[in-house]
Amino acid sequence: MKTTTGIILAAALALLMSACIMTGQNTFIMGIEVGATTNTTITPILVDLNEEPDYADNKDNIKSVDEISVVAIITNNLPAPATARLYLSNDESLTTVEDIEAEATLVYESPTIPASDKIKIGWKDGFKYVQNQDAIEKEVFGDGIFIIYAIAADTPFSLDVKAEIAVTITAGE
Amino acid sequence: MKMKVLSAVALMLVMSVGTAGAIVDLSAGAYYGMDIPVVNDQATSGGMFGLQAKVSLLHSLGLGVYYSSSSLGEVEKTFFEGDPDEFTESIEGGDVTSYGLDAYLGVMSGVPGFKFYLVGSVGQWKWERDYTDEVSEVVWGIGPGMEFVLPFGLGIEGRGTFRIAPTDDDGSVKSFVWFVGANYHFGGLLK
Repeated sequence: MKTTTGIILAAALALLMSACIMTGQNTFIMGIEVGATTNTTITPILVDLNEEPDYADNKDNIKSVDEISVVAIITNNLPAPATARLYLSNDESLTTVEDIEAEATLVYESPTIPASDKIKIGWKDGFKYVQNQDAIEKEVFGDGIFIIYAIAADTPFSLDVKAEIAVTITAGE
Repeated sequence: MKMKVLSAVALMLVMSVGTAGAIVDLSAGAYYGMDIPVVNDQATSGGMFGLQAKVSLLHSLGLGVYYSSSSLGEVEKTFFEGDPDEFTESIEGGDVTSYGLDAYLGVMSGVPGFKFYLVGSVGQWKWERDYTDEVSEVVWGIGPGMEFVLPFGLGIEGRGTFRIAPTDDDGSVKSFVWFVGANYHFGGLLK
């Protein structure tokens, strides 16, 4: 009886004093300013998470990346349905759909955007469209600087993409 | 690993009860309170209810079991701030369930009057949200409590507990829970 009570109380007290209670969570939101993208004019978008203080202040003490969602408003300018895709890379020299698909990592695929229409993917829905989350986590744990390419699943395409990435991290000593 | 820890503690509890010889007091009850996430950006405070049973084998030591269920509050974020497309969205905090063992240090008998105690707990903790995978961890807790036992065996109890569920990546999910509840004291057995 005394032993059991002592063990549970001592373990709980020890945990209170341990390092893992000194961690906290932050969710930071970072813009991905794509704008217009077509199969003939693809622009590399530099994303620097260090511009976000909640990331920069905790960068060296990140314990885990807990959740990632991508919020987006996407306009399909062509009279055919399209599926937008975001690819992550550290190479800003990719210029063609083929190069991007071969060299970069798919990190987001939108639902189908009807012809000549616009969709909005909110925070809650945005979780399920994130692909290969490990690739994003690697960048969060790294220098926080990476390139995003926005293309579509099929060519030709003409999209206007406005996106933000919401990342929840746990950081602390 | 989690189940091994809980099984070991449960075994100690059974052995403790079996070897103690006398039960000073046995009580059971229900409670309601708040589950308040601490440095957690994925949920806000929500209501919590629970059930518990305690056995006191010595006047100053006790063991118990508990089950609690919390419905955490929403979190809100604004996107595209300053842009014509700016919008604010809330997502639900999800539901937390926990069950486990409590160990009490303090006056635990069912004798009428005020009782003060320190409680430590270990249990299983599960956090479910409909847009992401559930999180299931071993949870530890510690905190003070008090109970006022009336002459006819009804006790009114209040407690505050700091809970921490260490995660696999050196982090943890933390919360402070408080509740007010009522227990019925069945009295001593096997005296």
